[in-house]
Amino acid sequence: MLLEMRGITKTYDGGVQANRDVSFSVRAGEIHALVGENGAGKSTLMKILFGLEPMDAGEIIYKGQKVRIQSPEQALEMGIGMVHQHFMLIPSLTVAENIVLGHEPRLGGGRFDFARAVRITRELSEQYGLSVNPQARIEEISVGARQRVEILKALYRGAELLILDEPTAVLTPKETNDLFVSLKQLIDRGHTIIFITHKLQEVIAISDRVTVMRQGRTVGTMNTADTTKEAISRLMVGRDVLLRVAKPPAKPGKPVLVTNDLRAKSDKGNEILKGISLTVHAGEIVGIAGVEGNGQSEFVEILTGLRRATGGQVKIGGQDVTNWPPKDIRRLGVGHVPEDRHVHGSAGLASIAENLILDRYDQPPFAGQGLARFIIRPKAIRSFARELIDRFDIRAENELVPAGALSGGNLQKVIIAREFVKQPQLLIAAQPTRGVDIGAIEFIHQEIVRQRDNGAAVLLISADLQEVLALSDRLVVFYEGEIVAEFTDTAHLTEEEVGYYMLGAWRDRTQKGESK
Amino acid sequence: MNGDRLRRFAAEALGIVVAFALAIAVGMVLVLLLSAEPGHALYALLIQPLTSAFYFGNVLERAIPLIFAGLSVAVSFQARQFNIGAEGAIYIGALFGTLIALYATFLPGPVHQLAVFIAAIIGGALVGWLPGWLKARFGANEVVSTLMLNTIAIKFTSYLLSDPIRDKSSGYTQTVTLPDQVLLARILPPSRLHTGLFIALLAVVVTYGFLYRTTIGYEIRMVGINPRFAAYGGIDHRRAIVLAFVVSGILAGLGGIVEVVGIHQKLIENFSPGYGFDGLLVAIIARLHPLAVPFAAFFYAYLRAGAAIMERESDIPQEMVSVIQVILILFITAEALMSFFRKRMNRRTEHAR
Repeated sequence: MLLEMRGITKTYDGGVQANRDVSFSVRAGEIHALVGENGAGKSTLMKILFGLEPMDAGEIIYKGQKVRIQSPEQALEMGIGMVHQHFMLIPSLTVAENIVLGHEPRLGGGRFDFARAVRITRELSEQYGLSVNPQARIEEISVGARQRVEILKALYRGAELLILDEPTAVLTPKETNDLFVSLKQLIDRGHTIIFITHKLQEVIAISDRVTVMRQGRTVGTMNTADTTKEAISRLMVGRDVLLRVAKPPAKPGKPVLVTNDLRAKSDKGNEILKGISLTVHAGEIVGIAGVEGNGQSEFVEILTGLRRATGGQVKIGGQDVTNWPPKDIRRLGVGHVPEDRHVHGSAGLASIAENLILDRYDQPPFAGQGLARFIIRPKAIRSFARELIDRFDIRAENELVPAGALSGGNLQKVIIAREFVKQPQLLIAAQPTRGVDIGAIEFIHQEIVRQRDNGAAVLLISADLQEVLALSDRLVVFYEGEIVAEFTDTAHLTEEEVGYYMLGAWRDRTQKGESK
Repeated sequence: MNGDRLRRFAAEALGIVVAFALAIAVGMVLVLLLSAEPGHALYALLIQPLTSAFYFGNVLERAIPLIFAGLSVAVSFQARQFNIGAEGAIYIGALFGTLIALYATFLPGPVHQLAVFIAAIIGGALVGWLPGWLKARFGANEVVSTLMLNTIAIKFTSYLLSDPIRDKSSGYTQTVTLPDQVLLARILPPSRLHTGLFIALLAVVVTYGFLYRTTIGYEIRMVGINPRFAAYGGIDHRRAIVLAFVVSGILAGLGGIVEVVGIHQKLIENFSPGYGFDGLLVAIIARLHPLAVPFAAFFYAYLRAGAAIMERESDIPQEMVSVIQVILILFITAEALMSFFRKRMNRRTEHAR
């Protein structure tokens, strides 16, 4: 065994027991998948291993010796490197500078040797088959390339055991494949990899062994070859999970959302939406597929009043709402699950209850009426919150826990609860299940279908192709600010086919034959 | 309050108390090193404020303006607005109230007194509103605008005191003693402690209610915690920011007039020794929570009163206490310390289960 962690126990400030007597071991030269629902304790375990969090009890044996790892610096010295889910690179510096940061090659007099940094980067890059341009700035390169930089950075620091925290969450299918090829090469060169993920097909595709965590404990370690996706998912959630979404055919009603030649500029001033015309009817789910950065986010921001359109028109329920403020749009019965639950979706330091009343704190029963309309009623708010916590299965001690203390999946459920409970006529869900565990994904999908069947018009934006394909009744593809394809029959659509449009290989659906 | 909240509160309070203890310990070491009679100096600093009604009254009377200023800062900081205009609002509140006290003498007693306070509220609100509006409308940096406004407010008050409203019979830049009917009663003679203490405590409760029990308070706090979350939810962040500034100004303005009708009984040039800035420290020590403000103000005032006694009775100057204050702020803001105690607390309850 290269690494053995025994009896690891960790309790966080809020009293959350993230790890309870966890045992975990890794063999040299393997890719070991670590899976589990959000809040199962995977990240905590890896943070302990990387010296980011102290453990309350337990021991770590690395290369046959009992070790104490108190900082990432120490972990790196021992040869343990970690690539985080959120990249920790400096955008304005070059790739080479980022890779050597902290251990820079020096010229005489302590001056930074940029030429050698570039050379080091190039050598590492060739050696491991992770192609990067050493002289490009981080802000100019793609997400996939940034990830390669992170991996190279860890390798430069001498990492033999690499921890990858949900490395594919931000990647396109093609980038994921490239990453897998690189990981295999790393193994061939004698490295060992711990791979944290939610996606079971990735576990099957790449890992040698898999360890499943549930509610802070390890519930099993298996050879990947001897197991199946279904078996793993049963272990993860303790019951069988429907990997497919069961939904009756849609019964579209009258149009609820109509956009007409909608145009907008990005923050940098270039044209990011070039005339989007789209209609979503009551009782149907329209999916938007597309690689991130092709205008989907801006489109949603305009629909919800967070960004101004430079041209065109938005109608909701027959009313022209172009460039209305968010509050008025919400009052028409629009629910919005934002793509980033931390940036827009929640206030981390406020309680769950305070997060749940965001768009109704000034309405009865949460505020009084008449003269008392400025007075908030904590009792009504708390009982409302308790009801939602119960109904949406939010795992929290109580409704006064700060939202920021919740795991990703549970925080997402708070947002889902807030936006779904008002029975919106239009529901806009952007990346509703990003970084969320399987149990929660299933739940969120069912709730989305339920909203549709209750007559809501649903607009679904997701980078997860499987999700868009499984949920949508109709599907459009965004590419460079335009709709390049529309599919009315999603049942027989394959990921590959949609992928070609997403990546710009095919443009207009009718031109498919020619561009082939 | 349920057990969980109580536990978190206790942990936070313990952290603050320990920070105080550490800061005072450092102060004691300094006194031991510097003083020829350290025992005497420390006694004067730490114990003597408790030894007589007069000294203790001194502590409480100093706490009153600090409570108002601390609340004022807490409100705008909760909206994440670095409003340091409390000092200016103290002066304008005091000035407006004084004008009514001097010239609206035709009003019957209680009405006159009420009018004085209302005038101070209006004055404070105006001084608060201006930088708030500039920030919300034009994005003007509030640190700069409030700092400059402070100077304007203080100098304008000085100007009026230099002639237009000066008591011409005295040799000082101050008004005549205000009419009895607007003054606050003294409650612990021979100290100057006055009924303004109750107004301050009432302000604590009202501010708490405002922040945590009103829709506007909710808006202010959400804008402060995550402005993008507030915008996404449809909260008008401009209105929330302006209102936070206005309420902040009102609280400071009230603090100003209470000081005038409670302590000095007339408006004096430069009557505030920087309460508005001390309010920053008080608010930070109280972690911006209104209910913690009176405790922070009390400790702060205690140190100040002790320092004054120490200077009179020993060879250590008052400025020693500034050292303690600075160290205190360092400790309080050191999140590490706080989380250390929180963790200890959790572990202990874990074992107890």
